[in-house]
Amino acid sequence: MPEKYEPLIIAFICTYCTYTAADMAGSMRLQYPPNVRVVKLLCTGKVDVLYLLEAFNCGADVVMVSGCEIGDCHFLEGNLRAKERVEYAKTLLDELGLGAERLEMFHIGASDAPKWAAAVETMTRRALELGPNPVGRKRPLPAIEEQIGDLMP
Amino acid sequence: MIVAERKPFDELVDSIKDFRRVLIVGCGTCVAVCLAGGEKEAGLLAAEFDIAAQIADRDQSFAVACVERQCDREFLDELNAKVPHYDALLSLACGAGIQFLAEKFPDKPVLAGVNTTFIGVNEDVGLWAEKCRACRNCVLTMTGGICPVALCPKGLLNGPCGGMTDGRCETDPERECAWVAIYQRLEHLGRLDNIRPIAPPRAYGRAGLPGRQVHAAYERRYRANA
Amino acid sequence: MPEFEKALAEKDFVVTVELDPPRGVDLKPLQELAAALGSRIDAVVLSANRAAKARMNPLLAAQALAQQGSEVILTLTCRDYNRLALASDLLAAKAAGVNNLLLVSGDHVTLGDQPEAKPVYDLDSTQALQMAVQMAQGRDMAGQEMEPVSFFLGAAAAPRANPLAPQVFRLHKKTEAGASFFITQPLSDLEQLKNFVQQIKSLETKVIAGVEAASPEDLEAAANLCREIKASKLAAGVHLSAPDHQDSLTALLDKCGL
Repeated sequence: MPEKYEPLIIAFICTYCTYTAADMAGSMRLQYPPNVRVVKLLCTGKVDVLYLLEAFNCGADVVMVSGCEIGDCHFLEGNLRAKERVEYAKTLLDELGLGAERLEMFHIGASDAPKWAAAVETMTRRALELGPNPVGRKRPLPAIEEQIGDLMP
Repeated sequence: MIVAERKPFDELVDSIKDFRRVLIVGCGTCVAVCLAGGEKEAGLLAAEFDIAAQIADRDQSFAVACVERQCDREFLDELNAKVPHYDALLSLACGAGIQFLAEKFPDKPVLAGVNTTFIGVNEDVGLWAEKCRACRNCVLTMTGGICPVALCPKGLLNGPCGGMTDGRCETDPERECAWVAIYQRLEHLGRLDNIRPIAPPRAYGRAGLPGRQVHAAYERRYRANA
Repeated sequence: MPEFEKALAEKDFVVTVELDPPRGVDLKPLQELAAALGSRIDAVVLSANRAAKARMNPLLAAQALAQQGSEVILTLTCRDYNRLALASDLLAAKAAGVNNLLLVSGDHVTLGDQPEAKPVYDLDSTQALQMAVQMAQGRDMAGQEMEPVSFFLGAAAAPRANPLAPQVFRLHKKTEAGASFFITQPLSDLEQLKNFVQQIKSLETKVIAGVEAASPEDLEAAANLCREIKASKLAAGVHLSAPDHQDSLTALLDKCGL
């Protein structure tokens, strides 16, 4: 019997804004799909295009990058750099045949827990619409997290 | 510096299709500076190839090696241990580096990963502009530091041509006419006399033969055995 | 002295027209048009792959027209010929009965219908003029002696150039190189000609003002401009063109009163 498709979302989020919002979503007991695995960075400015590609290579069905609202980045411009890198990564995803829609950038302020929940909701729905990543889930989840961790010195 | 641009992805996928294990060889000098073939670009390309191969269910694996320059044999030596493990080498160096790599490993197919575009300068972040055609007979002294060989599509030495419109080239309204620029620069410097004499025809034939250049101090080393 | 040189020296106002060789192999229509234009004009300028679009080599057309009595000015572009081919064409042109040359750089290939063609530009028009003068003195470009081959030489001028100073600078060089007359690019109004003639006052080279009728609807406007130019006495003549509808030239001449 074929396994039911449970989308895997990998989210690269910043400490100061989105992570705080996600934390608050938890304490507010907001309901949202459990499919997201969070990679916590100090700032989304640390996101390298390679992390995004590797996330897909590990089998993520969709990938989110979420930082502070524009103008509010704790490190001033990190979220702007992340935004541009996400744009570039989208062009690579299109050219290699995976599709730019599997990757998205969000800007979620520290107090905006509902926006976090909504973002995860959006990306889960998108993952269901687009279908599973053809690369497949080759490795168990903890190994994926370890692999992404290895990329960051 | 030499500027290059990564080849279109589809073209690259096609060129590696017969090979199971591909080593992507980056170069840390010119192509790294113009963001086409350095260590980072090599890593991204490997990841892209990997994902694409899995989507297409192709049995292919990719690895990355980067050397300081591919146009000096000493740096290529660093690859000796790795190369035997791969079926093909995809080089992201400029045309010169790719050829040196191919010459060093004649038993391995060596593929070109970039199109070498021109000798140019870094105008701004992510923007490079051609400035030099390596024509072997520099006229920049005469033209006040603006090159008509590289910047005039007709390579005129006695320009401008009649196609110039509002200071722009007939081939592209965004391109400044090189000869208007030269005229205005020399006028500004009070050196218009530089371009008053008719410049004679350029030497193309012999200058077009594959170049070979020996530094004066090393001539004895390469002279035929006495 | 060949006809056109004589006309330019003696007449108050000369008339030349631009004719394109055929895109095919039939020269008859061109020959008939030239015959119809007859002595109303002082010379026919045969274009060479005008606008960087391939047509029959004008040399062959030049020979056909010269044989039936037309005075021909043959255009040679640096875009299509290296110095060997230019020298070659100069010899052939003389043998074909051509007395006058218009040496131009030539529109860049990217403007034409085969933009990926390799542009030549071995020489520029100034250097080509020098070569032609050298050949008239009995020397080829390698410095070797040869039978002198001489032509009445012309070059292109761009009165609409903006800025004009570099263009004027170049026209001085073209004159020094051997140009005896300039044919200008199509003018839009008399002011342009006035301004241009003012700027090149010190040059003795004769200026033939270009007037173009872009389409049959423009014949009236072109004829007006032509009459204005003639009346102004600013130019040594007019060069009429009707690109891609050259059969309209006879009607244009009628309207100009020429």
